[in-house]
Amino acid sequence: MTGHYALRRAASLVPSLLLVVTATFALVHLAPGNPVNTLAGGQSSAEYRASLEQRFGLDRPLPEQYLRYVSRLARGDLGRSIIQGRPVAEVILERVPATLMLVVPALVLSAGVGAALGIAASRRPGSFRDRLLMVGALSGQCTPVFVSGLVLVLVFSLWLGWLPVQGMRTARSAGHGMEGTADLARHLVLPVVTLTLPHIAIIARLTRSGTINELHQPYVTTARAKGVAPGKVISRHALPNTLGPVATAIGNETAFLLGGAVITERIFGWPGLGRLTLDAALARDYPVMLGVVLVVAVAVALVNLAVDLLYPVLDPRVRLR
Amino acid sequence: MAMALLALSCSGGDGTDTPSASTSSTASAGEPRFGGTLVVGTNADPGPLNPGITTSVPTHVVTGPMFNGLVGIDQELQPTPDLATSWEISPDGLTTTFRLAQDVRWHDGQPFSSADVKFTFEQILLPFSARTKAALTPVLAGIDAPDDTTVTFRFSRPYPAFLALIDKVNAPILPRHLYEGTDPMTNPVNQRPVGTGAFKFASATPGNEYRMVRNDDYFGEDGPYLDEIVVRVIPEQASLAAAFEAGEVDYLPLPPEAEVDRLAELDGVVATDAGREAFASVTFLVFNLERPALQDRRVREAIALAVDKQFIIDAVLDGNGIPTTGPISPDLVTFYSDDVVVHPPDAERARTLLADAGAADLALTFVHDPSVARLAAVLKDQLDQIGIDLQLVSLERNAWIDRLYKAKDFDLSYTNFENGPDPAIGVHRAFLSSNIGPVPFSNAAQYRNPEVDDLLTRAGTTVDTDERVKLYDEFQKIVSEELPYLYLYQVDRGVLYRSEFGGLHDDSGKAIIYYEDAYSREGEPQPPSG
Repeated sequence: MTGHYALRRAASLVPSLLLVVTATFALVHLAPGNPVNTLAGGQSSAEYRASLEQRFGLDRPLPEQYLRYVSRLARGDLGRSIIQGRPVAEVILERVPATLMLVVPALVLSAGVGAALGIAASRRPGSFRDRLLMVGALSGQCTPVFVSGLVLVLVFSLWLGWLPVQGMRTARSAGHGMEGTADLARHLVLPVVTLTLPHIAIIARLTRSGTINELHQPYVTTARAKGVAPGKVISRHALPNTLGPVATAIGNETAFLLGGAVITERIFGWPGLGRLTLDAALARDYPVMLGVVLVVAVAVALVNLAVDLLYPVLDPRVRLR
Repeated sequence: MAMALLALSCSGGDGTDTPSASTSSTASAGEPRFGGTLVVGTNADPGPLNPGITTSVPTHVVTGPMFNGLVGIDQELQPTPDLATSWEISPDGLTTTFRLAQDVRWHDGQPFSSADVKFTFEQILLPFSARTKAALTPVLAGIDAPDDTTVTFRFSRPYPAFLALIDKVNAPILPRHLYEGTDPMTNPVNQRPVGTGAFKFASATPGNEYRMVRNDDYFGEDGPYLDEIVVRVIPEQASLAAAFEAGEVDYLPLPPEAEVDRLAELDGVVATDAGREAFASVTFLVFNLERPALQDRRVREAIALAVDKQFIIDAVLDGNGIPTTGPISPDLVTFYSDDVVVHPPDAERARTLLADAGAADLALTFVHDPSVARLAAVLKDQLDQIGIDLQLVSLERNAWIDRLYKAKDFDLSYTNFENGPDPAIGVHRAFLSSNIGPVPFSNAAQYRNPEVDDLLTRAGTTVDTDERVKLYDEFQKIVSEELPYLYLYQVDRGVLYRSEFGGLHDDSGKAIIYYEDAYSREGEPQPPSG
């Protein structure tokens, strides 16, 4: 049954992706004014406008443009960057690894640390430890990335001199093999921590409230009455029931992490998708912006699919049909 | 932007407590050593790596090490040999003949010859480079390449500024065999440039990092000494400053305005303003004269009266600048004139002028790049006080250049015009009606005045200095009154580099983009073998 379910869930991605594709197409074509005005500016010469129209096929009827757009996408063709003059797919793909290097550790860290903190806080709700952890979490969640990032740079790079300020590698000599990996790891620390902080807070608060809620359920009282050790009550009984909602939240966090990457990558001069997005937006490089929107939408959809498929593993109450 | 932001203080002005307390003399001590990497930090991506089609500083910061001009410029702004080893000007001043260096090769191994020079001027610089186009088009009669190492420029009238116009910023020589028959704006060579310079292109990740390695076959007598030059693009100003402070970046040709004073105080940092003589840049507020509201001179005058230049200098440049009254920098002592129409702040009169022009409740766009975000905010506030709603449009640098010079879609914008050592080089291009076109750093206002065209053409081709001074005086008076631009300020800001490096900015004419003399004091005394 699980295989069927997975297939069905995967198939349900198709309409949502089509919706995203249509929405991005509409973004450009149905926005006030026509795209040539947006690209060329109001006072540009007729010649320049005509060359743009031809270059982007904007002289064709709208349905035809839409079909061409979808069929090009299906072949992995996202168009050409206006600023860089290279295929958008190429421009985006070369930035993906850098962003994954930030987002994947940030996701794992925020889930792991967040859940641990949430459980620790839930053991004695209202205690000093609980309050301290929750105030800490709340401040983490409230501090904008550009503030925490720069404070971390100030402390760990400029005052203590432990970690580099920017970039993915040392410009002078990054080294090879193990040395190169160590260099990359050192560059990763501050951006990953910056990106992780607000999300730790979210996961911690969710885990805490979920666990506390479960601890009031009759089955927990039963377990306690049977003499199960307090630690086990949480780990074996309450926690598994809170993991579902937490997993869903982690899925949703992916989108926010990718958003956070825009600012984090700018602060740390990290050459990933986030910086590309900001540069493309400032440069009004529409093909790249649309390409990034599509790639991110697909990524978020896939992560959520993965979460859905994980659900029955986490929570046996969910029966897959 | 015409070496813009670099241009430094007024020689007679308030240059005393600038960040340049420690001078470049500290840097020139010691023998050059070999090896090492220089990391250059910049806040804007260079865009296409073709120095012949733009005078944008971030482009030249990257391409400078890879290309050469016919001549260099020394501290007294006199020409020095580069690709040309010697030159001769005919007694009537109508021809200049260059003898070129022998056995020069392009980085791809092809031989360099006079044909490259002729091609570069005719096919790239004259059509696409704002300064060359404005300066040479009216006077150049032809270019001859009688043999591989000789090139002759023929003029219809004597052109005294010529030798100051052909260094590698204004006239970098490009390879004919790679550009002939292509569009120099979009040629893929612009992604992997091939020059004759001291450093060869190694790799690029656009928006992030550009690497160059030493050209062991360089034709120059000294250098290059460094193994490698890396240009890091760090758009966030605070991060750029922190990277320099932490020693990750060695050289800031365009230091962040808000941080420059603090960084200059750090140990092991050299701050210098050597080079200002060669740049002398004035920041203009650009009026789009094709926009009906701005065609009314009263509206432009009202804006001029609303703008408090000294406040901008204090708030935006932390005091590191001087207000300007016209397009010619006070650094050009011979040609600068203060006998012009000035517009001291007067909001009352500005509002009256706007009312007279029927332009109360005006909304205007200000199109700019992120480097002047603070200027934009101050302008918005100052214009708000006379009832103009300034809508800020922030674009990435290369998109801003396109919007301003190609699409021409803006009401107000800004630009920095480097004067260069002679007004004929850097000033004419902003005013000549023949220089309105899709070329970056050309006549952005789209100003057309036959009288100004005539004055500038005569000033550019007259040999007698007193006569030229009179012509430029008249020109400055007219454009201060007609206000096709508002002349805001001249930035008084040095460059910063770490004292481990020498050979940078020893020589003002070689500032910013000349790296062949740069070396690391921690390098080896002998060149690497092999």
